[in-house]
Amino acid sequence: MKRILIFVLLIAVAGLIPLAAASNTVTIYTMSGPEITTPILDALRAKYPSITVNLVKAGTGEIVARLQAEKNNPAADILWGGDNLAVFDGNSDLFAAYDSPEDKYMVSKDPNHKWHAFTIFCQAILVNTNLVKPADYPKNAKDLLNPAWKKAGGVALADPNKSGTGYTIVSGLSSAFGWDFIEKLVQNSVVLPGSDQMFTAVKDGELPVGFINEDLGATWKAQKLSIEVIYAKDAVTVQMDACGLIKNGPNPELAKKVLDFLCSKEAHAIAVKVINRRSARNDVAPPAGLPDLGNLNLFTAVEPREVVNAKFTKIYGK
Amino acid sequence: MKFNRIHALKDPWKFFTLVVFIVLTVLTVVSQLWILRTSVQEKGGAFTLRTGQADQPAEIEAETLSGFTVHQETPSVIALARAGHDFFSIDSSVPGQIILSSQTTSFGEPALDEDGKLTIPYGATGQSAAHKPATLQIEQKVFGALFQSSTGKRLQVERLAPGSLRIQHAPRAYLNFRDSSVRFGLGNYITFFTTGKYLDAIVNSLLIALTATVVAGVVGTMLAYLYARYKMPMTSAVISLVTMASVSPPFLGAYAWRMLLGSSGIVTRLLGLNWTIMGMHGVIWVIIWLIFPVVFLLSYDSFVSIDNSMRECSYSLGADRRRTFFRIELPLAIPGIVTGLYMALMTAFTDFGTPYIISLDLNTLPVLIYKEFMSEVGGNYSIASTGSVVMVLLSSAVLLVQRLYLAKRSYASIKTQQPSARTPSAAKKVAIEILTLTLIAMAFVPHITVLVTSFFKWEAGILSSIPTWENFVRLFNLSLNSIWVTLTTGTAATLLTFSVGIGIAYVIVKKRYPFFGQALNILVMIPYIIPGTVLAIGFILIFNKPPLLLTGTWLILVLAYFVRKLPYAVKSAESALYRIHPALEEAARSLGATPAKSFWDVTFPLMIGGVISGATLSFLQIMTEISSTIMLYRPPWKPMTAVIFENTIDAGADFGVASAMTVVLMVMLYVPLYFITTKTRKPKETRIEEL
Repeated sequence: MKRILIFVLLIAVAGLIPLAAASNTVTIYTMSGPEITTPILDALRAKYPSITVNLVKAGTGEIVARLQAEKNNPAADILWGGDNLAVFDGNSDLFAAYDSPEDKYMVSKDPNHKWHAFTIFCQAILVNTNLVKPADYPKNAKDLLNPAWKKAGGVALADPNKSGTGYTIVSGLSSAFGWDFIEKLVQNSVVLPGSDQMFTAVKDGELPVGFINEDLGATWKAQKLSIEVIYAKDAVTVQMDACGLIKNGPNPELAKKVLDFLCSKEAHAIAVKVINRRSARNDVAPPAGLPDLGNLNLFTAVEPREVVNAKFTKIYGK
Repeated sequence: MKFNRIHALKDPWKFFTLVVFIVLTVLTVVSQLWILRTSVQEKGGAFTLRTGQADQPAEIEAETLSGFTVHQETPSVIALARAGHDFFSIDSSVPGQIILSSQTTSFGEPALDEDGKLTIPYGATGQSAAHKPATLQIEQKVFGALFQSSTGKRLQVERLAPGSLRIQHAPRAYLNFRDSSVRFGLGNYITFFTTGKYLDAIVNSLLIALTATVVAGVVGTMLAYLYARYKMPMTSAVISLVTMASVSPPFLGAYAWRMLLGSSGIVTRLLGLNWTIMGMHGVIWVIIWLIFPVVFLLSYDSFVSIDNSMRECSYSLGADRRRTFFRIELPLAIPGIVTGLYMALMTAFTDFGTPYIISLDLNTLPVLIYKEFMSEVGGNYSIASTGSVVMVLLSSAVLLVQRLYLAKRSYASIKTQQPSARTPSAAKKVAIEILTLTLIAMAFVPHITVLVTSFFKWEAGILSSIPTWENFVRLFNLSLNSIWVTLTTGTAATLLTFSVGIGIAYVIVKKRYPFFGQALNILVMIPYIIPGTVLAIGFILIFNKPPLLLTGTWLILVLAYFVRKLPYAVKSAESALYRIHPALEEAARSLGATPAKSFWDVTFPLMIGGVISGATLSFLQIMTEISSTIMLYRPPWKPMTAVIFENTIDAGADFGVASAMTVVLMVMLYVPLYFITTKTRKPKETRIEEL
């Protein structure tokens, strides 16, 4: 009996060993969904068959909390996705500077070389067509203050404390219309603890209207879900997401290779073609079917994350 | 008891006791004390200064101010105080620079790091005891045109005098000030108990847990009583089914309800209803079916084990059936029912997945702790820890009530007769059968939904009507590693739990060392009141730095599972041990066997049967553990529950993989469950929940 027990224990322990990270493994943390990551990582595997990629997907808040907690013992090599201002500049101590040869093709680059631009995307208004008649579709962001939305459940709005997209929406709209507007918007909204929850609440018909990243909106529209994607005439928020190397990551040399691939024309072309994302590269044309940025009233985040969070919490938190 | 070396060598049990005592103290007591410590820590303070353009003075963004108090001296000079003492003032009269000056503080030599972050050490001057030495960090952020960021020039700093610094910054910069000093106080608790959302979380948690437990309690005990009193066909099949239902698919189980009964759920659309399960009512509904099996199983055991002569006496003394039930049977069964209710209540109270999935913005304590801990801007460990302490206190209170209640009601009787089950009338039989079918069907809704949906194609998180194998194919291509991780960590944790659990039970029951035996007895029960989320936070806090750098390893998962299930293991081994007469081991000793040999050759084989079924139940719970896993796992050690979690929360999620993964997990759980319910002699005899 004793021998059997020890034997089983040995097997269990032995079984755990071969899983230890091999030298050809790169770990990527991402907040982007599989609709973005799968096609690009497939292309990466085709180009570098020897590289194994570990992908961890979680909300922006979870990822940053994790990176902070792991600072002394980082598990990730690359953060892929996340607002260049809020996530990368806001936590610059987590990232390693790297002068990527691809940076020179980008519309914008980090003077500190911590983040490397990936894509640009707008937040459009998302409407559930089962719940809202075409005549009632909002045309402007200001239409979302109509009390009728609150009666129908409320506007889906992601908490900027938990979501980079929520941060862009709140800060962008506050720069367009002031914080009074945000205060009224919050009163008319259901504040959700993440951007995924915001998108899903409208898609599933739990709430009639909300915001969505335009690429996912276009994808859902192409799949004929009961949704409509509307670019507000008065203000559309826009953000850039980026990728960067984690400071003291376990496999820095290989990570650079993977990062260069994520920034390459090839990867960006996939982002444009497969997932309707606008590339941050000057040499990759925007996806067909998305409106020209020149025709939109664009607003970006204008205040640091901690300021937006504090002001939003003051309005919503009590 | 002296634990000197010679003794320890002679009696390996003493050595074992000491080691286990130390390990458990670190894992449970120290980690909880660490949480307590974090909950009374307050950060020194922070604020963001918005510098003006041209000759506008700088202003503090009032909402960001924490820890400091501020008063404007002149339009361009802001004076800051902390804890009633003047700290320093900021003069922004000259554009492009600010001057920090202080009467009470002397600034040390400032340092600029590679990211342009400024660190200024400071200390009190002269006799002033306004504050202890610490550092002030200043970070600049500049927002430019679209997609242009931080192109402003870096901060430059110059020390003019010990109490004066000049900092040059970019135009229109935001300067974030952060004080590194730490104070101890009850500020976090005051915040927690005065802020609406935190109070709501407490109320919601209690409301959900109590309502769900009451409903599940009534339904569960009623069904249990009917099965204990009436001869029903397929009783053992029903018990097996309920046992199976007690293992529910993590996370996706709750999502299944949302898919069926949400605003545009399958059933909602089919019936053209205008309603949604999302909200507190839905959370309660889903939790009822999650906890109903444990109430049923424990009450059934209690009703069955009532000595039949008690009832007969009651009848012969003239009591009717109703009176007999309320005065005799229910009181006799109460200890088992209360234990079942207690376990149900704790499950409902600590459940993280259901409120997270079945609501848009409902805060409960576990959800709140998770959200506060996983915050994007550094994470509010202090408030998360405060919430954890509140949760542990509440669950300790529940345990205390349960203990006090049971202590007053211990009934012992020598069982002479098996209770005679009546044959129900035909109508009654049909009624019971319909009730059984309904309840079991409800409990299996998540399982069946997940099973069915795993064979259909998912598009953009919406189920299509196209049947496919693809979900499983993708699962085996991409996530096979996770199955391996779950199996190995689960097995390792179960084996560890039970080998240590048997040892501890042996020490408690047979060795009865003074102090250490009692201490161990209390120590193993501590994890019982620590919710998974809280345990995980404690582990992260103490294992996050050398020499105990365990975060991100498989070991931390195994240790978390080990600690969480240890109470069950010890209790099941204890009850098995109480049935073994000490004379057996003494006989072996008198024949010359060493203590170790007599344990291995005599006691261990006698108790192992009872222990195995307990181990299996623990194994099931470990494999479906979510609340601590999602906070502790890190690649490549990504268990199946983490894959399911990731693929359920995401808007463009691959639900196909999540449901296929859940099906694989459930199969892995039901195979061992089948073996213990059929192969062990009497599963109910060794059910381990009874404490």
